Amino acid sequence: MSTENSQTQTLAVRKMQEETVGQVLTKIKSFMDSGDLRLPKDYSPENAIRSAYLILLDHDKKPLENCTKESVCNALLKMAVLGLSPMKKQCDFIPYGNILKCTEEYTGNIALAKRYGGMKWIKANAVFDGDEFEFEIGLDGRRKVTKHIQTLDSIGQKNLKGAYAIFELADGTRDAEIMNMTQIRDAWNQGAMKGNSPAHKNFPDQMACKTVINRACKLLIRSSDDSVLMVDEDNDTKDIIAESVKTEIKTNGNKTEIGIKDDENIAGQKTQSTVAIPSQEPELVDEQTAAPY
Amino acid sequence: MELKVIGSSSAGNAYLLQNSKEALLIECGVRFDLIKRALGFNIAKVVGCLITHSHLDHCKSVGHAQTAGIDVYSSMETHEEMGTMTSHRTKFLHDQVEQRIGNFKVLPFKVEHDTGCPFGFIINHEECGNVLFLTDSFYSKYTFNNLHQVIIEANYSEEILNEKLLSEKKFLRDRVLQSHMSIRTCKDTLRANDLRNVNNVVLIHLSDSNSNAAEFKREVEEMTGKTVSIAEPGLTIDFNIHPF
Repeated sequence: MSTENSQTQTLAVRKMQEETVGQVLTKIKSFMDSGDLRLPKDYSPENAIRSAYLILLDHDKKPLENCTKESVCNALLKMAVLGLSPMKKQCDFIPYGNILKCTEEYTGNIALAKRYGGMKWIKANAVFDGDEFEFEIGLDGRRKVTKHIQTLDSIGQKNLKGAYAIFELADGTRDAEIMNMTQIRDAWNQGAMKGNSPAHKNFPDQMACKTVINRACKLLIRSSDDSVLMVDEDNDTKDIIAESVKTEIKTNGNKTEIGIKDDENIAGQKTQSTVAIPSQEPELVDEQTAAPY
Repeated sequence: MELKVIGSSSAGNAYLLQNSKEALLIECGVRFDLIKRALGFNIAKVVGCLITHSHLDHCKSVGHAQTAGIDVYSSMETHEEMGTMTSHRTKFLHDQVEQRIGNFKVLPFKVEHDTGCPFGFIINHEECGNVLFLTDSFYSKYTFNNLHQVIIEANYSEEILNEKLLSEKKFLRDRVLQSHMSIRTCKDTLRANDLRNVNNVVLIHLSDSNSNAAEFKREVEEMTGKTVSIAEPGLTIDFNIHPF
């Protein structure tokens, strides 16, 4: 009843939530240590999970309190396995009732297409009523935008005609994904809001760009292999000993604090206590994280 | 209290922690006459000898020491490997069980080396406080409470080791990786501990070929801001808890 009581309760909840995050990290680490999971070299699951935790803490629907622990763990795990950063809005956490889900954002799809699909860059534009827009389909089946003239009058018009995204692959080939408004609305209809969210109503051009980017990236991602993760395979296997030594030190090093139980015992035998060893509380060092500074 | 280095390399290790009245011998991997000379031939003041593990560069003179009447303290496995099980000067230490030797208190703890049951020690004496003695261990599982002096192995630098051994003697390099402490791990270990009360950091057991003493000393000095010494035969360091 008292505020103190509810405070301890909140603290307990907070502690439980932090444990959940810790558990996911431990799980991922154990997967990585045993080689069951490979993450891109430039991806830090620690950072991603910590920032996801902060985002979930701030979330309006309080998913850490309202969603099942399993679904929270699975959502975090999915984010880490995909190698996405929630701080960069590459993915979003959405609670469906008591189930938390991790959904890729279009920025996440771009990141994945770049990482796995060999995409160098992608650029999307909306086509407004009044724009001059021409494209052709080459004999190789690739589409090419040959003309797009936009004017200050046409830009930002609410009646969109379509959107397109041009991208280049690592080998230099260029392609374009082009969708007219009917196709885009069909895509929006697959979503929960059926294209009726405030964002869709107020910024239809940006939403259309996201849609066309997602479609372009999806095929690249789904048809890619995991070669990015294997680039250093040879180097790794060459030096198994060095790697396993590193892993062992990282996993087991400097974990438990020990010391002579009561320092003063010997000093106490001396009649003058001026040379007594200054005793210290075991203090400050959290055994899990070690390092006092 | 002073620390006297009699030997500190793979050619032989022995250290004396002594004041005018008593001495604790740590390791006896050098010729026994060198130990006697370091003691000023006053063997009677030795209250005991600690041995970390059974490799000869750490225990070569164990027989002589016992004959001279010195109690030798180590793990049962190490005594077995040294062949000293039957001597009445043989004393057993147990993992994380404190042992009083003269006015010294010793806490042995397991370290990571390629012998049966290698130990590191925390040694406590009112004059020098808590001394960490950690050698022949490629890392430490433990951190240590309230240290005043640190004696720690800085065996090799990864860069030098790889340059010298990786291509031609990989088996040797792999053995070093799994049994000795690199300067990097040494620094990580120091970093993981509370060094506020530490007066001395002594780097020991530097490899002849795979280390760079001046560089190691500079690196650890910069990181800790403590008095850092490189152990060399004949070196004597003031080891008092109060530096003045």
